[in-house]
Amino acid sequence: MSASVSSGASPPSGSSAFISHNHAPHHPPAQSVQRFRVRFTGSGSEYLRIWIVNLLLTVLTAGLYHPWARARQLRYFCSNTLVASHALGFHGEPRKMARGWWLGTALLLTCAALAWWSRPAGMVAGLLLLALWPAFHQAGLQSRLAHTSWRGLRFAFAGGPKEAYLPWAAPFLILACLLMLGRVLLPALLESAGPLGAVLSGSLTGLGLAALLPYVHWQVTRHRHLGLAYAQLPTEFRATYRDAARLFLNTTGVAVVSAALAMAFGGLVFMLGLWARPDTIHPTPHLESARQALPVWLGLLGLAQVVPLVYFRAHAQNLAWTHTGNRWIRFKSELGFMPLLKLSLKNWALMALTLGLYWPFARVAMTRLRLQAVCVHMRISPDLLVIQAQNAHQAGASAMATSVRLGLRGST
Amino acid sequence: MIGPPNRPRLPMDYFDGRSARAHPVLIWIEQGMLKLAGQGLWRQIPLHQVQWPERTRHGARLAHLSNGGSLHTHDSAAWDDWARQHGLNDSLITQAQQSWRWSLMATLLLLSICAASYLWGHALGFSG
Repeated sequence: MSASVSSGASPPSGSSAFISHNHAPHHPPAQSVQRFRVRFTGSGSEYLRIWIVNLLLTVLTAGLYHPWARARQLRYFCSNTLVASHALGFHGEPRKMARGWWLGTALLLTCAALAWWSRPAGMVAGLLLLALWPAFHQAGLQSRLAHTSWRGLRFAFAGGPKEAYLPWAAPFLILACLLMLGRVLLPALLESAGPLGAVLSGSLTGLGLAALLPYVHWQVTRHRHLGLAYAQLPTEFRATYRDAARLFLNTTGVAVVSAALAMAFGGLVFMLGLWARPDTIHPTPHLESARQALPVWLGLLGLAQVVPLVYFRAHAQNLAWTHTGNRWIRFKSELGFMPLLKLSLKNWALMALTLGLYWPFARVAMTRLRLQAVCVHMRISPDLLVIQAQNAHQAGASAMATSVRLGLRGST
Repeated sequence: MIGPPNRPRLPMDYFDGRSARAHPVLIWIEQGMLKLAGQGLWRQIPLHQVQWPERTRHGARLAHLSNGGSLHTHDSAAWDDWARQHGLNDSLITQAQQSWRWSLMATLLLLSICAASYLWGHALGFSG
């Protein structure tokens, strides 16, 4: 029996001007701003059960079940994410995701087999895969968003091959130039200036790489956020390279302070230890104690790097989302550094204690903290939003791309 | 065309997939078709063309229709009762996910597989 449609529904009142099929959309008039805090209602204990059952099935089927597990996970997280009391929807079909996932896995296994058989062949295959990765990444974003909806309307990610490769082209060229410069400059400086020349060359290359990193981060974030679209509304991304550079500079400052504090703390403990144990038969007690304390110091230094990592994560989210939006819908992210640090430390400690079984609880808690830090500001009533013609086409696009990306990364 | 009154009906929000406006409708199942009726709105969709939501303790219930539309409700308990009355039973996997006993068994089985892989892998490594 085919579905019979008898829809007497009329378009939303006043919105016929916004229904666009073959020409550019009309933009709705702006209204007063409504603010909606994103809510996440998921539960760690429930996700643990979903995760463990699906993990078992994935292991028993040697990974073949993975697309179904992934679809179930995405559906759970979407249906528990509420914006203005309406949940997100995930429409991905596991069968379609499976085809691409297996294709991606087959590509990786082929590369691995070629590398095992012949090193040059493996390198060529690896470079080819690397060259295709931006296209897969973009296609994955497009497919993931095309299968996610809010209030029945699907999201979209605009952009073709040019947009996929442009964010990576400039950083890649700059990196290649820096490496070539280092390769050419280093022998020349060594010859003329000796070891000082090597230090100078290394410092210049290091500074260049340090300046490149924020640029790469900014380009990639800009690419991800600029392509977003919902209904007939495209997105702008207002963060600049200066904002990204300031973030990296601040993070470096936090890393230096954190490392200094860790070393000072380690030094204090070391001195207290020496003072508490003055009697020792070793001929050089201080050196021996320093050697014994070295692993502890290195451990403290490693732990201290958690602080800048979490700092970066919190501020990168705030920077990216607070600068994303358009005239009618904007986002504001206020993810706090201290709450994120406390949660991260708690999650890592409990995951270590439970040999990883705490992971679903950690995942749910982290998702809740990060999502509920975001507020959506809308100047348009959601009732007036309509689908753009090309969104309908993209929503029907195959899930092949998502799944190839899934196969290459293991998850989106 | 409203169905016979003894078919349990559930109020839901219907989104047609073309606009974000919610249409309040009543849904029920009759003769292998999902029927929904609201103000100026009447549709019927074959059951196999509906992507039914899985039963979970938390989260909204979203049913996706083959034409791009969807049905939403936050009253999960009402949805679960309605689904049960219409014979829409949970799959084995959904039942396993909602059961602590099955989840515990899955955990023990996974740990056993990990232990066995480690022991046999270790033995293979030594013999090889």
